[in-house]
Amino acid sequence: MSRMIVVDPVKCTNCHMCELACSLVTTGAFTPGKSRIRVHAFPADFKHIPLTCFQCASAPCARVCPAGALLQGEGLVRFVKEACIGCRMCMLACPFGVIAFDEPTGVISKCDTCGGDPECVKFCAPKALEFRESALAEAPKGRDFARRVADAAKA
Amino acid sequence: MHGYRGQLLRVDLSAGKSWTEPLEESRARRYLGGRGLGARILMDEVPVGCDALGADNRLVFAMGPLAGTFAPGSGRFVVLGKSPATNGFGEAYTGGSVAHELKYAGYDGIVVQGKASEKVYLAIINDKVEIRPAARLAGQGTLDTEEKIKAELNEPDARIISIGLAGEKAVRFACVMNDTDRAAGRTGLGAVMGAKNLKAIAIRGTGKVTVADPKAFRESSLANLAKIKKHPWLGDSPGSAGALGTAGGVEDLSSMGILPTRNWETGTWEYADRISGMGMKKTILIGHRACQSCPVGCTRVVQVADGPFAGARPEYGGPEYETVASLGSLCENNNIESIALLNQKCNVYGLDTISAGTMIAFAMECFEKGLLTEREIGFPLRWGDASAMVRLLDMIARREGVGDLLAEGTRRAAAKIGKGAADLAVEVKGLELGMHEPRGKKGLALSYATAPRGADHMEGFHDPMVAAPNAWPELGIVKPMDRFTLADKADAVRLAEDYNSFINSLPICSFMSLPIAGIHNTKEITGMLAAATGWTDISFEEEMAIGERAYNLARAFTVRESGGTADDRLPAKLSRSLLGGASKDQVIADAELAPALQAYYRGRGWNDTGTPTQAKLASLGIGDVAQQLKGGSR
Amino acid sequence: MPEKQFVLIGNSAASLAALEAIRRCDQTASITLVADEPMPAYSRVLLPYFVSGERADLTIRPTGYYQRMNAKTLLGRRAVRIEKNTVLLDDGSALGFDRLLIATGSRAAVPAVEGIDTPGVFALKSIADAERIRDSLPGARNAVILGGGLICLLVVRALHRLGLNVTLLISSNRVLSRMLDAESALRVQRQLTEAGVRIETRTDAARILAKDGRVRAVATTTGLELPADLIILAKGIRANTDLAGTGGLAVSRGVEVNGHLQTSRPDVYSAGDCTEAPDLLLPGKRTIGGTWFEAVWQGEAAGAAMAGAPQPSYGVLKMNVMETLGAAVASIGLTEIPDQDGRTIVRAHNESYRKLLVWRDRIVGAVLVGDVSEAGPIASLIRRGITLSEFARFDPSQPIRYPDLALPWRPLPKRSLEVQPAV
Repeated sequence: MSRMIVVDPVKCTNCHMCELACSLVTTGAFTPGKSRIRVHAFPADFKHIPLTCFQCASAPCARVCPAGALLQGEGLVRFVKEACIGCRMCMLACPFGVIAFDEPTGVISKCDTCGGDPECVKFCAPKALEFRESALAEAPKGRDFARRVADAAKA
Repeated sequence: MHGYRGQLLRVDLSAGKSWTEPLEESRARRYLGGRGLGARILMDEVPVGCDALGADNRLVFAMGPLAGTFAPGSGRFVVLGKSPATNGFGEAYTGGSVAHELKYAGYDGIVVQGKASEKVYLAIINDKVEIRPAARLAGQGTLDTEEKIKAELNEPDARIISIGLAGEKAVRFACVMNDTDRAAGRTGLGAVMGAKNLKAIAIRGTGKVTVADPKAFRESSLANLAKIKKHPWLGDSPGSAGALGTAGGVEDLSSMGILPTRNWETGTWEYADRISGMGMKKTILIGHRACQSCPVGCTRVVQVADGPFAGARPEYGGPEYETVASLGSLCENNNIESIALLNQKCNVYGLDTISAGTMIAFAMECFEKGLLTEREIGFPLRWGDASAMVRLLDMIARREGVGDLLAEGTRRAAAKIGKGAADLAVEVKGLELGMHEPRGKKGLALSYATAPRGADHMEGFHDPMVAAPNAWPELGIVKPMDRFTLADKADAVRLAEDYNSFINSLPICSFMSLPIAGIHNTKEITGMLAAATGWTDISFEEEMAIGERAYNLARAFTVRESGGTADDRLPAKLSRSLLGGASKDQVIADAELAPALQAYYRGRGWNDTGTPTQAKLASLGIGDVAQQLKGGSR
Repeated sequence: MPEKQFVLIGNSAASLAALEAIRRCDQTASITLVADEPMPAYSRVLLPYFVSGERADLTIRPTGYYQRMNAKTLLGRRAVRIEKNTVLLDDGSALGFDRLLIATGSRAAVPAVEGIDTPGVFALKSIADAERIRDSLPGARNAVILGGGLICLLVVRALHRLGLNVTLLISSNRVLSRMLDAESALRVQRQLTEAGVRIETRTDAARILAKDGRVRAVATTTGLELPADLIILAKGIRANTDLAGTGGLAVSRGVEVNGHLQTSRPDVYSAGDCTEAPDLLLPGKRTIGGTWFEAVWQGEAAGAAMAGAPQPSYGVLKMNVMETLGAAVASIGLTEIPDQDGRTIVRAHNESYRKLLVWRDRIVGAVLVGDVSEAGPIASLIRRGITLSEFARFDPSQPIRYPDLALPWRPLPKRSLEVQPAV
């Protein structure tokens, strides 16, 4: 069973260290706008939700890519940068909005779990992000997240 | 330059213009940022004897090389200016997201001078800086101000510094707020901002912060993070700062007899558990959150939906230790919901909770002793009457009725009331004490007496932390220290203060450092600083020198503005014993304090009135400051 | 019981998606894929990149794909007639089927202009087209693109990269008139003209002028004579419905299907550019999807239904995204509100523009220019038919993020005490 980045929004304290860890390792600088994991804050509801690519088991982005740049794997949707033409159909297909477009390079960017050793997880002190075998690994990944969101809503 | 963005934003509100000023690396290395750089700027630019509420005062927002990175605790900045409360060195520390955002926008700090002809706010969007009218923001609290500005600029992700009504009304302990619920609380800098007609500063930055050696920086940060996670108070344990907040130790303080209660009359309280971190957890707490790049998350988030003190909402966070003491035990108010409401009002009005609570406690004691009557106040003001406290707080913020008197701070209010009220005013240099009982922590008493900004509880150490032998070998503090003695502590206090001063110049949150949290991460901090800036030869000794330099600059400013001699007296109450608790019968007599001060001055290289000498300043490379201290004109 | 026989006519987006969807449900059925182009599946979206020289290999599935999918392929053969339960191929052979998929795609619309069949006028629908265009590049300086449709932006980019002078000839008043509203189209046009592309609107080609048997210029209806060494057709597509017609299936502008992509014959399905499927937003109406994107979802829906595991009813939600010389454009759903019962919400922020069309309390359309990162969540919102009033806190004028769409929050009590002091 493969591991995935499991998000528990209830534990997130809105410190944004995950964003900084990601931007450093992917761009070499601290610039949260380029992070592939984004923390969405809703202060009025006291909710902070980190979101990143769910590495869907049947990823709409991989199914629709007309350039062969997104390849479905087990626990990982692999992005092949050289094949990307920047058409952004994957962004249209992803219902979670976790694929970003990088203007300077003209290709998309999305989480690749840092090759199976995700940086963001290392910097999450409250353990809102963990890299482990999901208990619901058989279910579509989107539903797993929705379950956590539902738990957060009950909290 | 790495770490830094290499420039400050300068704003002249009288002239209505802004420009950037380069920050050279050599200057950055001497002063770092935060307190160090801020003190240098105040020393250089604030005219001697300047009116703190006048156009010539400076208002400095100082960040440092680590803001914008994932260095733990780096989401921090310092606000500085001449204080309208103490007329001396004013500084206040705060967290949130502004420090990171300003670095991404491209600046290491902001220096504001002058006074706008009408209410304005500053909009900083990367390199685009505008001074915009703020008339419709007048009187608004943080949340409303922020929402309106974000809508007007169409920048939903802007981070905002602002003042509330109290700053606009020049309440002497008005504070500067940021990110809705974070306060740069002490020394009345909100009044300075209000006097400049500056309502808010909105910042949006989409640039980047680079570090010289990303690999080493990451390693040091992770090593630091690992230590933080394992730390008994900072890590993941049931009594941690994240779990129970800074008020988690209230019951312990009460049992040690050092919980400030009833305007410093006693040190223990039967209702301590109602206002503590655990007390909050059982009632109004709905969670916790963190400042940018902080792995601890000490911020409380509370909610009070009904009852007579309903209103506390999650955006405004929740009360931390100083607040539950100042608006709780100090006033003998055991109603945590009212404390949450009062805390929120202080956020909305932009009022320092320490001083506000102390003001109210002072007024309560005045009422008890007949120095303030019911007619003067408008209603009875009995110990523990939370509704009365709420009413009074509103009046102070609006400067209505007796609120206008109390808005002046304890020192000035006591002087106006006369009749021996000064005896009930617990302050040093015009700044109310942090909620830590010096009669039960005498090393702290020394810091309270000498700190440049007045009675500062974050300047030195808290004695119980160095009670055991070999507590802090990094600072050479290895002898066990008894909290009830003042003798032989001067050196230890000085060393802790210098290191704190370095931490405050970085600046990073004190909770991630040795003297305040007892975490042994001095090497990791040096590692992060070196890797961020590329100053691979920076040593612990140099860091201590930077801290000492910043401290002396701050002290010199206060000395200069006091006419050449700083007033290092402690309040009269401290020479009387606590009425009850485990620290009962403890006093700080002048006979005890005087020699301790002399030892301290000697250790610091100051003369016997506590003024930094020419030799000392020269040894720190700030000999030019000595000119300003000669004679101290007023 | 003998295994089911699936025959798929077509080898592009819809057919491949159907193949994969069938195999997800049914590993034993016999599947045969028939296509008139003699090569393994390639991406038509990549054709402009082939023209510009940026891509040489357009294959869209790895080597060994058909074997792994256990699908027989008959490439280079044309299906010419549908009979009761067989389909006849051009070489005289016949394939029996239990289920048939018609995914025959579309061809370029050819305007009735004098000289339109002069050598030098090209469509860009196949590798063969692309190769012909590349062959005519040496020495070419000027290109004219007829039409402001979907393909034109991609072609503009390719030709611009090759250093040609490009002119767009658009008969409507703006580029991408079927996809974009006036404001967003103007933004796109601005990007193009800044890059040196000439745009003539409300103009059509009147005549193609030739010299030595090749095109040399386009004479326009407004009296211009535009020099042209190459002319590209971008005036839309025509569904390839001839095969469907032979089987007596209901055909209008495309092969008519229901929400399960079934044609008028229950055992015959259709998906992709040749298909007219129910419109998701306008009840009773059918629409041609016309994009690679839509073809994939239709193919999946068709394949699932063919394999006996139908998905929830499908409706066409026209979606497209493209980038041209510095501006990304995404368009989803309707570009106009059908009647008074709606409004538009525009959010213009820095270089980005977003317009939401709200009709009967639902979002029915969106146009994004610049930053299109919200496109996915918005499309999700539209598909779910969420009403704005279901979301008390949802502010459509603000950035839309996935958590906005997730299960509604249990709201905290509203502001109960007025803590603001009177000023």
